[in-house]
Amino acid sequence: MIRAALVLALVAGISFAARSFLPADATITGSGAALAFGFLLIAAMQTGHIFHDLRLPHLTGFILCGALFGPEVLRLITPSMLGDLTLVKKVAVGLIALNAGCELNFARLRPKIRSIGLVSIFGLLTEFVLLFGLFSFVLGRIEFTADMTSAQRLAVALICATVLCALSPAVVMGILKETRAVGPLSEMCLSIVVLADLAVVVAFSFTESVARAVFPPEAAASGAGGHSIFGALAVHIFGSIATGIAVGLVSALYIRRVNQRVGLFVFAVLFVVAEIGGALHLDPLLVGLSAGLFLENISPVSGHEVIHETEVAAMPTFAVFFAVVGAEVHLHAFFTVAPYAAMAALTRAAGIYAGARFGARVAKVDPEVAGRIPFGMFPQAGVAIGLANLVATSFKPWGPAASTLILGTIVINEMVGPVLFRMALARAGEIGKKREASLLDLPSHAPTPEADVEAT
Amino acid sequence: MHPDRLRIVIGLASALALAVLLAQPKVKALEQRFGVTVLISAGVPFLVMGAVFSLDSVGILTPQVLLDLKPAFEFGLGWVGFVVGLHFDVRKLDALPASLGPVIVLESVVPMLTTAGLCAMALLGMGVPWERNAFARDALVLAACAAPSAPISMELWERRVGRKAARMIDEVTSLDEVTGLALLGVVAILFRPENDTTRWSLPPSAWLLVTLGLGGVLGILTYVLLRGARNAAEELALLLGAVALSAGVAGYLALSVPVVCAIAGALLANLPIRDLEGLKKTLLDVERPIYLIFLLVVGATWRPLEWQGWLLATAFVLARVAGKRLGAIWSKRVGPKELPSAGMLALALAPQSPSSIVLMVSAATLYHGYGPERVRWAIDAVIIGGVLTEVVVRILEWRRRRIGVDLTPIPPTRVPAPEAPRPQIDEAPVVTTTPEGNA
Repeated sequence: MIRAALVLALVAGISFAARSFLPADATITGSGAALAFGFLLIAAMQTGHIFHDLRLPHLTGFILCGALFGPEVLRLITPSMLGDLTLVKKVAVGLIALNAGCELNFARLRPKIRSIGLVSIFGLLTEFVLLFGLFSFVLGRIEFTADMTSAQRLAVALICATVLCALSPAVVMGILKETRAVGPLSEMCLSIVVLADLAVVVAFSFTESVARAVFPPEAAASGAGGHSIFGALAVHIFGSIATGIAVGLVSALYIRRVNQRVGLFVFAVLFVVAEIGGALHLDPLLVGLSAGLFLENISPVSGHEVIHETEVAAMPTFAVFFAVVGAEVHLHAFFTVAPYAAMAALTRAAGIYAGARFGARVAKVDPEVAGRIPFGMFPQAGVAIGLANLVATSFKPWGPAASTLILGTIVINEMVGPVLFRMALARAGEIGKKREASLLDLPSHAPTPEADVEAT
Repeated sequence: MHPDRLRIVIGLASALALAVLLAQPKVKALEQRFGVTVLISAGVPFLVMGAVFSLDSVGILTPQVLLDLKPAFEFGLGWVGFVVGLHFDVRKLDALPASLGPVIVLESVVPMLTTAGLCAMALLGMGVPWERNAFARDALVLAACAAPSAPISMELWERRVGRKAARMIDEVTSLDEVTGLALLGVVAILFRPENDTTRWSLPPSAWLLVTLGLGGVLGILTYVLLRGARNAAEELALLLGAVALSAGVAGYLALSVPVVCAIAGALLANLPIRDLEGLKKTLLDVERPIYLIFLLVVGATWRPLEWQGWLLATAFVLARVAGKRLGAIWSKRVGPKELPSAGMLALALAPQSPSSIVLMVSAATLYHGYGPERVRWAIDAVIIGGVLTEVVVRILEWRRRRIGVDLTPIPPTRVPAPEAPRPQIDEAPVVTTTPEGNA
């Protein structure tokens, strides 16, 4: 822990010294995205070590590290650096989703499909109903809705509740990776968050169209305004799934025919997908997920082979992704809406807990597992933030204020969710149960202490 | 799908497919067999692809795509810098014959001098102004690119000049990159990009200290990070972070990225790492795709129809090849007696190393805002120069083979048997420990 803290201080010192060369908005050879990437990767991993020693998830350390050094607190990372790291983030989302898809084997999950479906449906519905009720009540007291009609306030409540229903496959996958957890709880949680998040993305498209219908056209400034919602939906969801299947197909062919540097190949494919995805409005999460599901369930290649090959890239990817997510945390926004955000977070947690427990009881899930499933549904990150940003840009003038309220709630779920999920996994005794041959078992190049002694 | 987007998809996918194809071990084996560099085997298709993709009518490597690639670019420069630095193992240098040192210096400095002189004249002739010594900066950058020689094919050259001589030439080619980097570092210090917004105002001597100090600190940081790694995956993640941080800090301070990273790499190479060769292999595994990405992006700035580029390339090739020949003549006089004839030595060292493209890209990143057309010409000169040199070398080899000079393969009986107890050049006395912990 002391070593990690010293390294963190050294890296931060070097980076702050370098940043003092130029004012925040000036550049000579670029925004310093490489500096930001290197700093975030090393600093996040050291913070992860410190958190590990404190028996907290690495992932929370990554997020806190990003938040601390990000544009809102210490300002080592500037907004333009974060902008340049968008591509890295997209590739990371693709890789995380690919890994999640590769973990889900439908044949193995078939006996549990009913349980997964029931827990997801009841969990999401209860969460949505409670959040909608809360926002319908609260929004009348918030300034930005003062001039709105009742119908418009309900539309805003609908949007806010839908976005906050989003779960986080990335966080769940990240925690499962770092803890090397495996077992019924891990499997159920991963399946639920993947399926439920898909449902939330689809639901958002519908609630967005309702909001557009309620607000006059000039108020709904949009990129998609005027287009058929179903057309946009088709491109976004079905286009992403089709692209994901194509990626899975290409990857399977490569592994079967060439089978060299598979990790590098997959990474390069995800890079291309991230690059073109921006232009084609594809969702990297859906693309990666579909590719992973295709590889694990349809292609002759095992998804675990892909997971093993991309394991080298997984650790830096998780660290940088969550550090960037942390750097994007709107802390100032959180403080302005803290009481409402805390209420929303509590309501969401209560909704998930009650709904998921009820769903699990109906599906007759083992009570030991049933009691812990809700903890896997608490974390929020990438998708929720993405949808909140979409609200901010799509619905002016009220979108930015609503987005602030949503992001404030996400901050709480982002920080507390991973800790609770890790605790649930520990209680379930699933941590450290994964015992595949892994790079994590190979020694590094560093000399062993015994070798040091002998060398001297 | 919109046609523009379809083009980007097809373009990037085909670049990816080509990169995968050209990174195959079979391609490397063919390069070894025919003694050509990556510049010829894989580089030309990528250059041409980059040039075609950047055309307005094609619109694949759009300014936005190039902008997205920029952080990767800086990172790639740092990665290659680390690789060069890791070759600079003092223990390995101590094991070399003492008289090989002057050979390395002569073989790299003489071509730099000839290239700087001739290219400066060419630049002045093309109308580059005297003011602020812009012509001198460009000429010195080209001179730095002239120093590194491509790694030789051991298989081919062992047959031609014997094992010992081939190993010596191999050492020369792996160390002359350092001279080029050193010159680039000096250029980056003496010719700082002009910017009024910077908060630091330092004389060149202070920038020299900053460069050396930063490289040293980053090297130590990398070592500390690698020592603390708990497994191979974490080690790789930390290595990635260290390279990115080094490249990022150097780039942010407008220093030469590969120079700072090479200093860090050199320091790392001389500290006790359990498996330095394994670490080198990890870095070298990704070096080739990095070169290919560089070539694709460099190709996007390549304007083959600009006459200035061709003129500068001709001056560059002539000066460089003449310099290598001159250096070989002097080297033969002062170097170890096992060295091959001056003609053969010049022939072995004439092909241009792909790292010259790295040097050029690094300089172009620093000075992209100062006379973009001159930066373009210099890029043209190094790219065309690399290809032209290979052509010249093939012609010279063909001529030598026709007249039967030197290129007759040495019969196997004349190959000296390896002397087991004495350390070979490529088996430096490693002070570090073995996995079992033996010194």
